[in-house]
Amino acid sequence: MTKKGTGLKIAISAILCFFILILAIRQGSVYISLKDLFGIISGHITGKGTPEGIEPMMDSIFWTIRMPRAIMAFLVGGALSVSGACMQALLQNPLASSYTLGVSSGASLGAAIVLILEISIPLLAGFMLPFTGFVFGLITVVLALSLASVIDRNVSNTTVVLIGMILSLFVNGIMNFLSTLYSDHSKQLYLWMMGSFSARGWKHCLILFPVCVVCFAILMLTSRKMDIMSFGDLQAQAMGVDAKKTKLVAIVICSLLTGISVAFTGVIGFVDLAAPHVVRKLFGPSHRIVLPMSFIYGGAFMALCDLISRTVLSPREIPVGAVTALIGAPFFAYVFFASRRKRA
Amino acid sequence: MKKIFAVILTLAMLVSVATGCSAITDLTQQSGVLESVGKDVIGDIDIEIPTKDRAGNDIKVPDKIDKIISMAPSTTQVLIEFGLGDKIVGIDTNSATYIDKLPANVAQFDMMSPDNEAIAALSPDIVFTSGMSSVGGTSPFQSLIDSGVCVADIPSPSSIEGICDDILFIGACVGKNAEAIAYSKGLTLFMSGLEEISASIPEDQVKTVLVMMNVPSAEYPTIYTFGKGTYMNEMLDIIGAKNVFGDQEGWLAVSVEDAIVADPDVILMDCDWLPGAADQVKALEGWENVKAVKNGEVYQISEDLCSRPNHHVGEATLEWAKCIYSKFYSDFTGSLDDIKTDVLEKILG
Amino acid sequence: MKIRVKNLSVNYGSSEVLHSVDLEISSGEKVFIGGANGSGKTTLLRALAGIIPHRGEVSIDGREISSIKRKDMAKMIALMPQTNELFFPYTVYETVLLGTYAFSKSILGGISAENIQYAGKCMKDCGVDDLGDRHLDELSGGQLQRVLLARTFAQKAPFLFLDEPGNNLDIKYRAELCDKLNSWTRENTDGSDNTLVAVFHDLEQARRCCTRAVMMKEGSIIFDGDINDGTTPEMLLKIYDFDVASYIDNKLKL
Repeated sequence: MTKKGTGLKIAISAILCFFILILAIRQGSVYISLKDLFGIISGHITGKGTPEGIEPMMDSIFWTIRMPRAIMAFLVGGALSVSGACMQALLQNPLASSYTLGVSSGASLGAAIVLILEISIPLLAGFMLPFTGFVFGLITVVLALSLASVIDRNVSNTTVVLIGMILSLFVNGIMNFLSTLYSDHSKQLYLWMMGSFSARGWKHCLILFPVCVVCFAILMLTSRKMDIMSFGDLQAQAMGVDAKKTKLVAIVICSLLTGISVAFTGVIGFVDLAAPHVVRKLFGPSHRIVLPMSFIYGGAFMALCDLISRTVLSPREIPVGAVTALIGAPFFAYVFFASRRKRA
Repeated sequence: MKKIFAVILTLAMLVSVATGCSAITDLTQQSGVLESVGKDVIGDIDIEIPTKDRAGNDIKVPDKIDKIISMAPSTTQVLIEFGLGDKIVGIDTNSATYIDKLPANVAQFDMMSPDNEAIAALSPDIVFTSGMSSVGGTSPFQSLIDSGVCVADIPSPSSIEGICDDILFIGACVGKNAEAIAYSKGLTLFMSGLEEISASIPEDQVKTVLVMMNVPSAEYPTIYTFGKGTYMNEMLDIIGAKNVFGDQEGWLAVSVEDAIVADPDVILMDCDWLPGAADQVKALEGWENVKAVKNGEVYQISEDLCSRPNHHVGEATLEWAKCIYSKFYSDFTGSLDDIKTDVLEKILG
Repeated sequence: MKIRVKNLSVNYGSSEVLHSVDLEISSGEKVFIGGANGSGKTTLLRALAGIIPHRGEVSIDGREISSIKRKDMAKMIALMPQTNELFFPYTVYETVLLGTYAFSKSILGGISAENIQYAGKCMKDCGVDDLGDRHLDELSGGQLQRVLLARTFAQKAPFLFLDEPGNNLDIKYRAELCDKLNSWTRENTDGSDNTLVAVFHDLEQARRCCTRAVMMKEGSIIFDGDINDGTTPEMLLKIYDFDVASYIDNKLKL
């Protein structure tokens, strides 16, 4: 089933992504030699501590600041791309994204409420904003899907996309209303919405990582169903896939991935749209390959964008969402339309 | 909590608003006449009423000022100390710190989106605004200006000299020239006193300093600080300390990584609104090898004094000096208040 | 095996498109469903396959189809819908293999060697075995129709429901399709016969492939019996409100 050369392409991609990740970890305000970097990493993993000859400062910077940040960017990029890839197949819409069902609007509303009401629950110390964002994001999606199910028993793709759009706009409206009422917070909210990986540490990675693994595993198990779903609900049902159930479950899983990413880093667009399309161009549409490759490509792309966001105007940072769009959009347009021309 | 956002917002605004208004007004030249302070200059302090505000806009200040609105805490503070607290009819919400020194029925307005109709309804003789309010070239007070109210804009000053000029400007507008000269001259004299000590600090004992206006966290990932071309940088210069971001320009938002790499000898936490900020910084992951943290040289400083650009920055500078170089400045006995009073007495005779 | 339909009604929104239909189809039958556009042929086919909500009874061997899992349904009934949405350009080979989905054993959706072999046979039967690596968006309409037919065969279901399988096929392939369907209905190994239920617009093709005709008009069955009786000029006139017989005659004279 796998075409010749696919294995080689996967291997090259994996190596390339690994290099980008290493580059993202090494590059920044200070540079480190590969030897020292691996010394620091192995020192921490084996518990032996930093090898002699490496300044403790370097250890702090790379192990405590740079690595979790780069890994966080990688995980978020991967999570967003995978969920984007699934949503496009499930909803048969090339413009569907992780955000189609209003995860980002919901999460932003949650964040706005936390910022405005200044709520804090001691138990969630430091995680109040991500937690609320996540919960609101998920509530919005569940609301969108329930509405879609009530209005249209078959939960057709057009209904889902339309309801998602309408609900997103509505929730955005509430948020804009609130942020106008409490304009003190609008700048803060704006910064949060633009997304950033700054000051994300291992504790964030430790939450994101298991969620990514579990959700990704579940989506991988449904990869063949996803292939079939891309032929439309009718054909999917004829081939033995419960289209409605598959759609609802997979969308919730995707929203979980998106929700937790948005909650930790803010709304970063584009990667969920671009990475899957590029991967499909390279590897074909089979989800067994598209999903893992989307994760790798999306992750590497995000790590690269974060690298750019923190180095170009150093010591200032450009919001990473702006970087993904500025770099991604022209590249994506090129990939997408170059292929269109060839086919036409 | 609320304070956090107000401060972050304010800082973020500072970073984004271009600071380009250092046009020297007629007023500054006037004050140049007052080089030496003494009885003999009393005759010269009859400074003309300004025709341009600190941003360079044409203004027409009424002869008699009975109702004042102040839309910046630093201005409100100066007005109160000029003894004009009872003439203030409206303030910005951040000025509410001084509410107990103001008339009970004083109106409060949002600094960013002021209710011009409500302001006009108070029929003020003059409205002092801060450059903070005008973003993107449009003043949110435009309709007020159009309605003929005297709106005097005072953009955020970028130097100590600028602060002095602002005080003189306010004094000239409200007819408190003697006080204004006393405050500004007092500040200048006080600062030169500090400078004398800094000159005695040996080259090899100069310390690098990072002033942080917030504790970085996932929610506020960047650190707000400043580079050259800010009055705070000048404060560090005066006491002989080196700003780690002194090579950058203006108000800054720097990344955590850059702050750690800068490896300052001393960290000053300019954030009263966050109790225990210094301890929080000491406990930050990844900072344990920064010299200031390693040596326990992280201090919380009084934000009220330094973040309001008026004569109180003098006191702030001394506080900073005592944190950074306790050895050199612990014996410093100069008092801004004394100098101020002294100058005022000389002027008034 | 037997499909039993009693008092079946289907609504699209508020309008009823099938009105209390009764029908029985037994193993080994070759049923033609005919009727004018909008008479409810496609709806009937989809209701029989259990992929649209219905009222009344549709059962296979006494089991109501809405209670049967989709995967088990796909093993009994293979439906080739008329509208074929193609969103991603899978290869022909990948597409045909997807037909064996209902047989994937492990949760990972792995495909057994037996299924791979069977899919290969279906491709060969439908004449698309040399197109294996081609992408769906590079195929002609006729090629695509045959690929989807191969995918439907790959479901190994004893009931084959085809909605206008002759679309886009040239005259040679239409003839071959009939031969293929005829041999397929006799093919089943477990003793029982395969069953064909098909919608055709080409009456010639219907007569070649099927023995029984179910003729529909405005959501009801108005004829059910031998195909020769169901396609008489009188019957066609009744169904289409149009003199089909003389149209065909005239056409042939030209």
